[in-house]
Amino acid sequence: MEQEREGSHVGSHDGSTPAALRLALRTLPRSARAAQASELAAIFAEATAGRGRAAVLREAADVAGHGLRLRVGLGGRGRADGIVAKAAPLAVSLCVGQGVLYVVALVVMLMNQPQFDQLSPSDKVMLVGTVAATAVWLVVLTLLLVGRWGAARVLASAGVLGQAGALAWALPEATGSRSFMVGDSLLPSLFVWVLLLAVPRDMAGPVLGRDRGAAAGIALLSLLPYGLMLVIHYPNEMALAVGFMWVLPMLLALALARRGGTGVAAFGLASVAGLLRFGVPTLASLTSPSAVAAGGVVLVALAAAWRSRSLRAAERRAVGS
Amino acid sequence: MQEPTLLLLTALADEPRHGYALMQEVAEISNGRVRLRTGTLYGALERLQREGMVRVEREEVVDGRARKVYALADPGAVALAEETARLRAVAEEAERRLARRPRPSARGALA
Repeated sequence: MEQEREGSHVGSHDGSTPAALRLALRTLPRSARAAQASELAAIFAEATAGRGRAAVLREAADVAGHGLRLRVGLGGRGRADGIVAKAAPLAVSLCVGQGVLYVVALVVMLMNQPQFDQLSPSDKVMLVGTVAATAVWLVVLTLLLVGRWGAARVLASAGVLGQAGALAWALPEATGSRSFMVGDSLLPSLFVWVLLLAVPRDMAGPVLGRDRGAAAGIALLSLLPYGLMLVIHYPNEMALAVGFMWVLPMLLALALARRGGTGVAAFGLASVAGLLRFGVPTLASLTSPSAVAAGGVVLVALAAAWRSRSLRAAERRAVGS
Repeated sequence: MQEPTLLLLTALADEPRHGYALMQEVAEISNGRVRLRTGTLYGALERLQREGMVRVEREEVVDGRARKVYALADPGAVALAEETARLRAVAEEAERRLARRPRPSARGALA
């Protein structure tokens, strides 16, 4: 009886709208809410009619996801959705490639037990945690290749939560640079996780053809500097190269933003994960963590303003045509 | 073309439908394997409208609820026909190769 009530009185966006849907609709930007709320409520009402609370919450969460995508500039005119859909598997692949360094480091240390024992407890937790995260990203990548995005998202969420927990445990006892600990363990994973969640469900499918090649290519590219480190013995210069090499694809994507294909932009977006792991911590050690955080906020605000401006321009063109 | 898009265009191929009817059609066509939720469906329809593949046929009020009825636009019909031809070609090739495959002998099947 109660289930019937849940579904049968939500026809319009009024006082009878369920709380879950009202909250979900608040995630939509004001203009989108004005234009879409009525129909979203109508579809929601029919989709949840006679169904239980769990179904209502799932539908509401999906509406909230739609609203949040609109909030960050996705779902509008242009190629943003397609770029994010292509970038997510690339960024996961990049995380796997970069994680190989930690796997090798752990294996070498376990083969030389005294070396591993010399690590502080927090360093041990961070190293093992990052290796575990690499394994998680490898499984996530496999799931994405076969098109199982739902399972990939759940696993990635669990992995990021685990990494955050390990970091929270290890950070107070840290003996080394905290910026590097946060950068190594959490920043790239957080970024990739957000990318995975941002991909609209209807654009999430198996990674095929050239996209598979690009995923393999970006993983190999992430391994290249490690290989060069074995033959070029300039540790400081190579550390800078490893840290900032990912700026190049980002700049290339920006330069080709207007005429480049979706693939180039996706490669540039995925490269942010590479920069976050080593580049941002290196920059923090050269300047200060607060300066890097402030710079990050400015960059995100600029990107949001640019996206908002291009969306408005696209809307004007559409109205004029 | 990703499967949810293919299913949505297929659901609109024979006649215009409103949002919830599309959800039901997609679930039916895919034998329940693909279930689009409200936000996903709406986002997909918005995108397909922007790409010119789907258009709003009309708006109607049923039981006090305003809803849009969507229809397949010409570019959407072309894209669906092309995707169908591609899938048919793959299926035919798969069938042709399977037919050429040596059948396991009775002895092999028992082994």
